[in-house]
Amino acid sequence: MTDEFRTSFVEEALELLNQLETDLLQLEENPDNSCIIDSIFRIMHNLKGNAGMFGFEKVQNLTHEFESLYDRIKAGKLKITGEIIGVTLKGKDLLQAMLDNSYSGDEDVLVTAMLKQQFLGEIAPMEAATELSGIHTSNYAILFSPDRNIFERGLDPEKVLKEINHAGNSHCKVHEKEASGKQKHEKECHTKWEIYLNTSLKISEVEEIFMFYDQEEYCVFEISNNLACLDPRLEELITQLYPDKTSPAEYITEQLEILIDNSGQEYEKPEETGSQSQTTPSDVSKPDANNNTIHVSSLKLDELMNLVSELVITAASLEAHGSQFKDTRLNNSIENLGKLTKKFRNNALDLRLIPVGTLLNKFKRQVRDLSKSLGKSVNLIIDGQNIEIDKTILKSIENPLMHIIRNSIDHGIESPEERVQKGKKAEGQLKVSVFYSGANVVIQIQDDGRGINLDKVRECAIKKGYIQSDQPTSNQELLQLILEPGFTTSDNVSIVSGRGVGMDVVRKELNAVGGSIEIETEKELGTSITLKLPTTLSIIDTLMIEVNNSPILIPLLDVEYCYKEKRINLANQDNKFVKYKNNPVPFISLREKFKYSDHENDSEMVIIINKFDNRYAIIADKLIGEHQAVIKPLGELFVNQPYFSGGSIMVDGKLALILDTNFLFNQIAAN
Amino acid sequence: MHSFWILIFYLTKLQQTEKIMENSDINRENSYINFKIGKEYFAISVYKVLEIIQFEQITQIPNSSDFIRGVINFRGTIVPVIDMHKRFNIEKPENENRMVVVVDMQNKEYNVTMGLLVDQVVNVIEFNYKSIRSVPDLGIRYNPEFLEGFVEMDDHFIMIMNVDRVLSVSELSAVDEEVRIA
Repeated sequence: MTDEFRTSFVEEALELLNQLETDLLQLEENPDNSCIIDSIFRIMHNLKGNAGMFGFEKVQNLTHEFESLYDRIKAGKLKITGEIIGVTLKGKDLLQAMLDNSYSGDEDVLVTAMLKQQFLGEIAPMEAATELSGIHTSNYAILFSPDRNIFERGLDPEKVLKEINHAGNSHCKVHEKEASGKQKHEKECHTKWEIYLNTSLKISEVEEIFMFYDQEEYCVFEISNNLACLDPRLEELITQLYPDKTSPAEYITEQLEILIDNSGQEYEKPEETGSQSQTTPSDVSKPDANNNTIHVSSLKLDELMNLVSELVITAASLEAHGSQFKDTRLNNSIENLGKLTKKFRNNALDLRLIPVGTLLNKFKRQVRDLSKSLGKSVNLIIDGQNIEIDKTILKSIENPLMHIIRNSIDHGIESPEERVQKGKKAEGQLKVSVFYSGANVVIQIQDDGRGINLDKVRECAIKKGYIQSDQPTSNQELLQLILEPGFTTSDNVSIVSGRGVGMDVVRKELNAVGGSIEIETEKELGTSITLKLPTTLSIIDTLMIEVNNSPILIPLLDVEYCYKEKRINLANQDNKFVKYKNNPVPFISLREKFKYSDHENDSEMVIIINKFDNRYAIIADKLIGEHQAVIKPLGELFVNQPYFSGGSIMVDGKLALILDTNFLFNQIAAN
Repeated sequence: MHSFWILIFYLTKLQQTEKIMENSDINRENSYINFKIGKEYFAISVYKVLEIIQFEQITQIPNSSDFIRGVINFRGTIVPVIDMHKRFNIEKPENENRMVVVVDMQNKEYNVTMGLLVDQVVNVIEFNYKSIRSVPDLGIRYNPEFLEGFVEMDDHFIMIMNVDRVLSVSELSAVDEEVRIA
């Protein structure tokens, strides 16, 4: 039972982490949006609480630190900086790994330690990415003993102390200077400070704080982790200050512990800060606005879909039989049932649809990280993220999309210098637009990079024997080659440097869900990749045909035209083409393909299939009519069988097979 | 006639389940569905059997394995029907008296439901594990791996079918290489 809860907790937590990432990326653009900060805080708080319950100790600890951090930010004690967002994103990754159980190592300890150390002060600006999450802190011991006459020099030691306080986590001891016999004067400084500081600043930067003071007035020592090798000068100074202490190292350790304790007290703020007024700037979408959602396992949805499809079939069969009786009331009820079933079906189908944005927002992060690591500047624009698509389809295109986006950033978009040289804006643009086109959803990925080098593609195609060296090939044909399996292995072509998924796999995965891919490219202007996808997998409109008395379904979207043709006209042809709109269109006879014996009819049905403006014809015996097909998988036994993508139960309980028009198309294209 | 045996089948299955609950002794009597392929008698454990249905309409799948007769709609899912004559290399009798024994096959890799196309479901028999004898390697037309053993009953032999082996997904899903590559 606990396992069950644990799984559901992990699921929920992973979703929260996704939300967190979206929030962080929004926050990066609007650092002052208190709503987002609240949301991040709530997520951390929520995770912390639940993680504890389910024994994810590391998650609990890490979220605790983040919760405290964001609590401070909420209270206005800290300002959002790039570093904070960087660290939190890093933390998000760690949390995700912990929840996936794929986590090992001790990065979390480093992050936790770093967070703790940063709590007292504001996170200071510093050098970009060093090792872990770009933030590394060190401990310093500072002895500051300004000259007596500093006030006359117009200096205020207070300012220095404030600055140190800002630089990081510090704690300070005040010593009176040893009486030098003279009368103390009000306008003289008789104090010296012993300061311990934890900060991300480098030693030279700490010394800069004292730029107005003379060399003799301050000393800064970096305390390495190995306390055994303290700077001898520091040791000497400490022995001077505390003659009764035996070991300076021990003393330093004590001081550093105080430093950490200090940060502990600081963050344990009561929750009252949460009651701050919330303001919602209008330009940013409010997180979670009115989105009352419940979580349902996809298994349950599948079950529901199964029941609905059964119901659709039963209702249709009832309608067929009911019409035999001349009973108006019965038929009225049946008609109503039919209408309700249809509504019910559409509603149920709708449940499986989720906005594309849920996937695309994940890419924001990837784009951010990838472009940073490549030293490129990329502006990701997402258009139409509210368009909905079947969850299964969305999941199956995640990897292909990722691959395409990576390619665009890696190979398409140039480095800022190169772009400026070419007269483009330094910041590259990557636009992902999603829109409906008929019953399809189209996802278009456009970049304004250098485009695909077609000359290189041609060179490589010749080398690999795809085309002859003297063969004229259109650009479109060359681009098609990129999608060929095996072509990706070439490292000559920039767009296809294999990253696990090649473009051929992209095409394969798209075909598997009934989608397609198109590439357009223009030298120096960029590349545009268009993915066409069906909105849903489970129910499609089909045209029912018959071959050798068995019904076969063709997705209606693919059908362009049907007509009857004399058998002789087809049989007497050598080159298997039919004439359609004055163009020759290759045809496939299903009877022949499926190795059925010939039939005696003197006419055949020709169905013109249009696959994204490429046409071919299917020859069948008879046309039966339209059929709304609830697609069912054929199962394990037919994985090697390529002609059919599934089956559908008909009104009479019989099964009809759904023809895979993509496979036939590829087969024709291959010949 | 058939519906009678189907009723008996369900009653036995129910009874067996109860038996299991009260004692899981290996010596207990086990129930098997006894059916005929051609002139030969075969048996499979009732636990594997989901339902016995009349063979009515079937949809053929072109270019699939010879062993697969086609697919049927079983409780709203597509279930392949395996031609037992082909699988066991047994001649088809003239008047094909057809029944489909729907079995649920579960192993590490697969969870598949399949139908076995047989000639006649005879009855439900009970016998002890101990009475199962091993099959001699010689003298049978089909792969001896297809059998777990046999029992002797009413003056004839009843072959205990090794369902997992007979319904090997990898063997049944194999198609002509030609088709796949083309």
